[in-house]
Formats: sequence, structure tokens, C-alpha cells
Amino acid sequence: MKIDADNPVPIFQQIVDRLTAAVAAGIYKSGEMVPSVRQQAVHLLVNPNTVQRAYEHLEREGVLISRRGNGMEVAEGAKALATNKSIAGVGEAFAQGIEAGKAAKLSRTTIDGLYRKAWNGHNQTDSENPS
Amino acid sequence: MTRAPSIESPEPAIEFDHLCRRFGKVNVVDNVTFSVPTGTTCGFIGLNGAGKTTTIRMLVGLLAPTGGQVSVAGCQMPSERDRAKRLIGYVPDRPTVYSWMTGHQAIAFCKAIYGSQWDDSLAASIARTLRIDLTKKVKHLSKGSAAKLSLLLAIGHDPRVLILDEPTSGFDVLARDEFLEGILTVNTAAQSQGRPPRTVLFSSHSLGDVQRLADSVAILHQGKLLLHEPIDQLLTQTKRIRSVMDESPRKTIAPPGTLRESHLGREWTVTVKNFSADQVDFIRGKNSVTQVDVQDLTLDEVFRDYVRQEADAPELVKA
Repeated sequence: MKIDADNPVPIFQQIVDRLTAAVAAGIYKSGEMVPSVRQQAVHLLVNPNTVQRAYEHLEREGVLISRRGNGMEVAEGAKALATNKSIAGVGEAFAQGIEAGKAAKLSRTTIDGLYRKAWNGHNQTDSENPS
Repeated sequence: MTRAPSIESPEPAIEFDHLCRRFGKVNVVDNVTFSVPTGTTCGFIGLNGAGKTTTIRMLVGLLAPTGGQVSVAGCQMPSERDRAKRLIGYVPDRPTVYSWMTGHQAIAFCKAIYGSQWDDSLAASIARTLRIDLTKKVKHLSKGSAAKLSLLLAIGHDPRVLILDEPTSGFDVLARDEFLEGILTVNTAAQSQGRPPRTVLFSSHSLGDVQRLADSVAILHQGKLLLHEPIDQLLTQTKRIRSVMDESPRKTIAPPGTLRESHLGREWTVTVKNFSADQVDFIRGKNSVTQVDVQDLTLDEVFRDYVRQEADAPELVKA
């Protein structure tokens, strides 16, 4: 997980988005502990209060659940929830892209072509850097 | 689970109350009022010469105010400086560790100042965690390691409030990462051992560092406080609205809450605070625009627009 401190998206939101995507992708499974606030803060080089607030937000959304004693684990059924959230996020990003294309008066064919080009470029990068 | 301290918390660890400092005829710090709640981290930003270091020097009792008051950890400064010394840690912009001393000697020197309050096991654990070689002379340490040693010396007595003046200025990226990791490790370790969370105020030109470390940001400009707000709130409520006009604009009517506006050809850009859809409706309703889009801003862009707004102020009707 990486944080971009020069991004207009607040770090709190970046942590929420990245962890949701990680749960959707099955990197963290239901019942598994996520890194502690302290570990996550030192790893990402961000304020622990920010990590704490992101975890509390994910808890309210039902993605994480606090475990008695200490720490947080991935809630039962969180994968489906996180996947739906990820779908909504990707849909929103596409909608913004299409809006930018329409603002520039690009045709649907051009926008479709851009999507395919981006997809192919992304898959190429993936196969070059298997990680 | 402990809740993250809120910046609306009623117990401030640092309080500036109409603080002023005048040098000759110049108000270097001009009527600054804000407070930092216990357990939170405040990033203190401003251009060179904004008055940050002067404010910090008053906060740590090295300089007396010419007006107003400042208190830290419940101590009025500078009158209660001796009591405050035990409660605060300070890393100045130019660390004053003697270069001929080794790390061990520098620690012994500080220990003599703080006496029984100095926590040997805390200092040893910080040195271990931050990987500081205490056998080396300060002059032979890298910039990052020397800064980490300054941090150790500032918190070996386990202060409640930590004040840092441009701690990462002039660092390369690795030294900077090491130092940030150092602050976070030391602070989070203290919390996990059941100690109350430390309050931190740090000045910086690195807005990326501020965004990473701070709960709230205070912007100082020409000695005046422009704002003190939670960073997330500032980033989500400050937006840039870009409009394309029907024709070259003769006169535009900016919405309430406008910080700054600029024109480029038929493009009209307005930065607004307390963003709401009403501001977009206002622009559409009062101006003939064909296209309007709303953009998020980085902390760097927000800072620039707040500071530039002050420079442009006479031309803008502020709501």
C-alpha cells in the first residue's frame, strides 16, 4: 500500500480506498487481522490519528471489525461489500473520464479507443513486471 | 479502542492568544490566536519571513511577546519557562548539539540538565529504534542521523509537547523518510506503552510532510494567521471551479466564499472555500458560462491560493 502526499485526495480517504481495494482483491480475508494503527502509520509514514480515523470509518462501513483486546480484523462478508465499493469507485472514475472526453467533444469511438489503449498498456506493464 | 483526538477537543496543549511580536516598527507576529488540542499534530506553514520561527521562539520561551499571551502544557511563556522545560521538547531549525561530542556525550550533557527526569531506558530505546550510532562524533554523522540525535535529545525526558522548527529542511529523501519514521515510531511507541499521546507542532516548507504528519494545518502570512483547520476538512472544502465563458469575459461575478479568481482567455477559474453546489449554481446563474467543472486541490495549491489571495485582496470582494 502506498500513499501519495501530493495528491488532492486526503490521506484519510486514500487509506480507506486502498484498504477497501485490498479487501476486494482478497489480500486481506475475512477474519484476518489488518496491520495495527502503529505499524500502518510507521509503514506509510503518516499520522497514526489519520490511520485510526480511516480504520474507524471502515469499521462503520462494515469492512473492518474491532477485535476484543486490540486491533482490527476484516469483517465477515467484507469482500462482497468492498468489491461493490470498488466497482462504484471504478465506475465513477470512468464517468469522469467520459465527461472529460465529452467536454473535449471527442467521439464515442475515440473514447472507446482510449479505454482499449489504456487497458492494453496496463496489461503489458503487468506482464512485464509480474508482482 | 481509543478514539483519535479531535481538533475540536476542549483541552489545548498549546494556546496562542492575540500573540504579537514587534521588532522596531515591524509586526513580525501580528495578533495570532489559535490552539492545538492535546494529542494532535499541527503543521505550521508559511513563506520565508512569515513569522514562524519568531512564533516558535515565543512558544518555547526564548523570546518575550510584545503583546498577547502564549502558553504550552499549561505554562505561561516566558514567565513559567523553567516549569515548561520539563514538559516540552524542542528541536530548533539549527540544532545546537556540540559537533565535537559523541552521541553518548551529548546524551550525558542533556541528562545533566534534566536530572532524574531523564529516562535512560527511553533514550536507549529511541537510539535503537532510530538506529543512531552513539559512538560517533556529531560532526561525523549524516544530516539525517544528526537530526535524529537532536530528536532523541529533545524527547529523552519524555515531554508532553514536542516542537520542531523545520525539522527536515535541507534533507535528501532518505534522510527525510528516516526522520519522519523516527518521529512516528517514537510517538506511537509512547502511546502503545500507555503514555498519553504527545502534542506536536512543527513548522515546515514541505507540504507533503505536513499532509502526512499533521491533523491540522495553520497558515501564517506576513505575521498573521490566515487559517487553522483540520487538513481533511481544508482539502475537501477548498475547490477550484473552472468555467468556460460564452465569450471573452467583460465582467464576472464570483460566488460567496471566493478566495481567488483568475482569467485566461475564455477560461475563468475561481478557488472557493467551504465548497457547496450552491457556489456552482451561483456561477451558472450569474454568468454566461458554457461549461463548469469542479477540481480538487492539493495542500500545496490550497496554500498558494490562500497566500496569493492576501496579495490580491484589494481587488476581490470577499464574502
